Amino acid sequence: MIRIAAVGDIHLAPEAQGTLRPAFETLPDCADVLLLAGDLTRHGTLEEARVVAREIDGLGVPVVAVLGNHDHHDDRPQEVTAVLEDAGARVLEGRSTVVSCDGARVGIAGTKGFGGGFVGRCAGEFGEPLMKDFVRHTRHCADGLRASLEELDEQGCDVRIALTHYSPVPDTLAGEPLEIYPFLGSYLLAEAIDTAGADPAVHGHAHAGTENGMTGGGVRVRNVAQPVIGRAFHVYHVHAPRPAATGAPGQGASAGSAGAPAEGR
Amino acid sequence: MNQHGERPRAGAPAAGDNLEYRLAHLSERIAGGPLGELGVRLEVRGEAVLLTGTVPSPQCRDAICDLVDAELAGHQVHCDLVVTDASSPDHAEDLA
Repeated sequence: MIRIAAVGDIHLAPEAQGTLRPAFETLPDCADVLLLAGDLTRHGTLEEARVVAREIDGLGVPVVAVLGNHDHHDDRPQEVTAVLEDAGARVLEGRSTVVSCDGARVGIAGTKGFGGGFVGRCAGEFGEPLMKDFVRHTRHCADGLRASLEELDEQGCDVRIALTHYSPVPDTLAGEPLEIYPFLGSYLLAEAIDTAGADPAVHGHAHAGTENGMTGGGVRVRNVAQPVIGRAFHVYHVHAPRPAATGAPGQGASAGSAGAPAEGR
Repeated sequence: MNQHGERPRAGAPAAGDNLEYRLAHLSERIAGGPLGELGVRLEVRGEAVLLTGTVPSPQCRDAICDLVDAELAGHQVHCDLVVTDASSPDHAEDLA
């Protein structure tokens, strides 16, 4: 059994330093890996990123993260990423990483994702340059997610998880105003997940949404935004669908909780 | 049909006094300013204004409530913002 802890939208700022650390220090007792589903900071400043870094540094379980829209607000996502990686986190954007959990190889593919909406009620790549750029950005994120998941499959991972900030499905947005759904996620992310395969998919972003959903292809989706789960994190027990691989293709160089991220793209 | 330069009809608030627009701009300030909070809803309830949502700290909740109180002086403001719970979970979900 693989124990996946996850939370998003922790929105840390200096005033909140230390609030999550006591709960995070219990992670080695209940989880094999911690997933952070974006919006880790309030404004994406380096000062806030350092607050996050201190909360996750040396936790005793691997930490895998994607950034969210708040983490981009100060226009320095690369520097925020560097601060988090210095604290040991693997920050994914269109790439993947593999961790070892209970003898199984768990692949995590991550992207921030973006909006656009859901089938029948979505934006198209048409019209003004800004509108086309909007949809192209989502498509670019979805393409990166699909390629990363496919690479994890080629590496023989026992479990593959899709980690995003924006939602791949409308199910987990229930509770949010319908009018803002196009700013909360995109079906392109779900299409990428269903095409490449993953289970589960984990996201944040929708504070007023609900936890459980499913893609059209049957992949379980969990909205782990902290306001939704009402805890420092939630834990999901996932069972590898096939025996833990030994000597599987790709095992070695990038496998293991202490290894470097396995670049998906 | 309203024409450019025409005064608002009798009894209608000028755009600057319109509570809906004031709430919209206040939401923008809460989201885009130092508070950086996109998860706060401001809604009209009769003559009062209701704030709902979940914020990451007591300081953030108090700052938003103080701002809205100050900006909407004369209106009753109900601040139902809650602070996120940072405790450890007491159970796990089995995704069998």
